[in-house]
Amino acid sequence: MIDDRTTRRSVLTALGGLGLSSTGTMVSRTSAATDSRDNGPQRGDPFVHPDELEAFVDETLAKRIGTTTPGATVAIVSGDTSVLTKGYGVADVDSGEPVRADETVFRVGSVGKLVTYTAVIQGVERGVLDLDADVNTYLDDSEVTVPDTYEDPVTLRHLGTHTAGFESTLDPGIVSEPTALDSLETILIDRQPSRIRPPGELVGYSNYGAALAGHVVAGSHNTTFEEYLQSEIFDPLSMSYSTFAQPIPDNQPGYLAAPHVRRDGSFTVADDVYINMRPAGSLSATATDMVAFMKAHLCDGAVGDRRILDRKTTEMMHSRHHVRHQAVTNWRYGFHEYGNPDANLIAHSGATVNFTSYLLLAPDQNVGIFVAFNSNPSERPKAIVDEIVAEFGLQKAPTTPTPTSRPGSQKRAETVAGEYSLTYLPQSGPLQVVDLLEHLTVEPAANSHLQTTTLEGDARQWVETEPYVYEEVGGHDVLAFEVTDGEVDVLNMSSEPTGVYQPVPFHERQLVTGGVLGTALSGFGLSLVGWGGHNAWQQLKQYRTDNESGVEDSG
Amino acid sequence: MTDQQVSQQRTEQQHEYNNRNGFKHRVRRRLTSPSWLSRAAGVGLSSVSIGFVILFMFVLETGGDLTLFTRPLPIQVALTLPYLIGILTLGTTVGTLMAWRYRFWSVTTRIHQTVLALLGLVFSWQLSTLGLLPL
Repeated sequence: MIDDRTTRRSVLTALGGLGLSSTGTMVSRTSAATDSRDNGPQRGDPFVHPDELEAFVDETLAKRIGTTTPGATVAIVSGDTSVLTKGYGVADVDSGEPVRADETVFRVGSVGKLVTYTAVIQGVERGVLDLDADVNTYLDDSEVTVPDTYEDPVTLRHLGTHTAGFESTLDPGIVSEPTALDSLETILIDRQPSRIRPPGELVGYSNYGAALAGHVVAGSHNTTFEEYLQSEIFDPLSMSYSTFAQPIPDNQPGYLAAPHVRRDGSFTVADDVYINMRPAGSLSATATDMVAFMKAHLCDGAVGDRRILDRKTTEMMHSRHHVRHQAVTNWRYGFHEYGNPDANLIAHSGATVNFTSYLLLAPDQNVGIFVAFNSNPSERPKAIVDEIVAEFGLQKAPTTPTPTSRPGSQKRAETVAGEYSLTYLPQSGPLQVVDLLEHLTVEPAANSHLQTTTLEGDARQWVETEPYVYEEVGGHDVLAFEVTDGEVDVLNMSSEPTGVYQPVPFHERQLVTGGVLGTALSGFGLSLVGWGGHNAWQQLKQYRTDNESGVEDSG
Repeated sequence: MTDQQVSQQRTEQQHEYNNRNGFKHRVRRRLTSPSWLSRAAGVGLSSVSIGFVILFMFVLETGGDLTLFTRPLPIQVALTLPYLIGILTLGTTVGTLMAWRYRFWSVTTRIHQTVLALLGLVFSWQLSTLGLLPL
C-alpha cells in the first residue's frame, strides 16, 4: 500500500487542498445496499462476508465523517455484484440532507477521465479511432491543431498515458460562474499549452490532453462530447444520475451534494466551480452509477446484456500502454497502476476544488472500489481505499527490502544525490512557485541507504535492492533512477505515477532561491529601517535645534 | 472691511500663492533631480519588494493555493507587483550608474545604492525563475 502522502503538489494536481480539522462525528447510514440479484461473489473474492466489509467501511468512515469531511459516498463491487453502496454523513451541512448512495450526486473530478478514455477505446473498437495515429488526422473539422513542434506526432495513446509532452498548467480552466464557460473547442484553442517534450518519452499529467481526447471522440462521431457519453456509456449502463454537463440540468435525477470548506472548526457550504476542460473533470455521478461503470470494466465490458466494450478491447485498455520503469507503477490506458506494480491494481484519483474522489480496480480479484467526499481535506478518499486494500489483502503487505549484493552502493547513492522536480508541475507562470516548493531532495544516508526529504517534512529512508532501484523502508514505494554516464536523467517514484522527477539546475535549487530571496529581502528591509531611522534622527535634530533657537530668542 | 483686514487678507493670499508655487517648485525640482529620483527608485524597490512578498504570502495563506487558479482580485494585484519591481530595479540601477558617473551623494550612500541595485537585480532574476516576472 502506498502511503497517502498529501502534499501541496498532490492537492493542486487534483485541484483542491484546503486542510481541515475536526468538528465532531456524524455517520448516517442512508443507503446500505447489498445487491443479491447478481451472480454472487467470484472465486477468490476477498469480500466473502459483506457484513464484515460493511462494518470495516463503517468504522473507517466513522473516524472521518464530521472531522475530515461532512459527507462521503462509497461503492464496492465484486465482479458483477455490488457488495456495498452506502452514503455517510450529510450532503449539505445547511439543509442536513443525508448522503444517499443512489441519489446523491458527487462531482468526481478527474475520475471522469476514465469515462473519457473508455469512450476513446470504444472508438478504437469501432475502427473510428487508432491509438497510434496523429490526433491531427481527427481534427480536420476542428479549429484545434496540435503544432508539429517535434518530428513525432501526438497520438491518442500519448493522451491516455499523459506522455504527449504538453507543458502542465494544472488548471483545467476553472471558472466560478457557468456563464464563463467556453465551448470545448474554444478552450482547447485558447488554452493550448506548449509542447515541451517529445511525445512518448516522459509522463507529465495533462488535463489538456484529456480534454483533447474528449474533443477527438466527439468530433469523430459528429456529436458533442456530452451527447456522445450520454448515448454510448451512460444510457447503456443505466447511469441515469451521471452527466458531464455543467451546471447539472434541472431535469437530471438526484441532487448534487454541496461542496464544503472547513472554517473555524466547522464545515460551511462553498461556492461550486465549473471546469472548462470538461472531459478532464466535469463528471458528476452517484456511487450507484459508479458501480455500473466499475462492473462494466470488471466484467469484460458489459453489465448483464448491456455492453459498452468487447472483452478483448477491455483487456487492451487495462494492459500497459506506457512503461516508465519496470520497478515502478506504469500506465494502462487512462488508468495508472496502484501500489505494488506486480499487484495488478489500477486506479485514478479525482477532485474539483471542494470535492475529492478515488476509484480503484483489482481486475485479478474482480474488485472495484469508489469513494468520494464533498470536501477537499488533507486526508483524501484514497486513504479509505488504502485501508480497504490493506485490510482485505488486495495486495501483499510490504516486506523488509533486501539490500543489493552488487558493490558500489555508496558511489551510486552519491551519484543520485541532488534535488529533483516533477514533470507535471508548471514550468512557467505563477504556478511555477509550486514546483519550487515541491522539490524532492535525495541524499546518501548511513549503510548505503538513501534519504529523501521535502520542504513539507516528508522524510523517508530507502534501501537499494537493484543498482539504482531503491525500496522504501516500511512501505511499498520504489525509486528507480535512470542514469547515463554517471548523470541522472530521470527519477521515477512509484507513488507518483502522474509524473517523473528530473534533476534541478543549481540556480533553481531551493537553497539558492531561498538564499537569494532571503538576502535581497533582508537588504531591502534593513535599508528601509536605516532610512526610517535616519529620517527620524534628522527630524529629532531639527526639533532640538528649533527648540534651542527658540529658547535663545526668548532669552 | 477695514484697511487692516484687507491687508491681512492679501498677505494670507500671497502666502497661499507662495506655498502653492513653492510646492510645485519643489515637486518639479525633485522630478528633474537625478539624485532624488535614484533614491526614490531605491526606496520604492525596497518597499514594493517587501510588500509583494507579504501580500503574496497573505493571499495564499488566507485563500489557499487555489487562489493561483481562480485569481481573485488580491492575487491579481499581487501578481502585478513583480512588474513594478522590475521597473524599479531598472530605475535603481540607472540611478546607481548616474550616481557614480556624476558623483552625487557620499561614497557610502553610493555604495548602499549599488548594493540595492544588485539586490534588485538578483531578486528580479529569482522572480523570473519562479515564473512571476517574464524576462
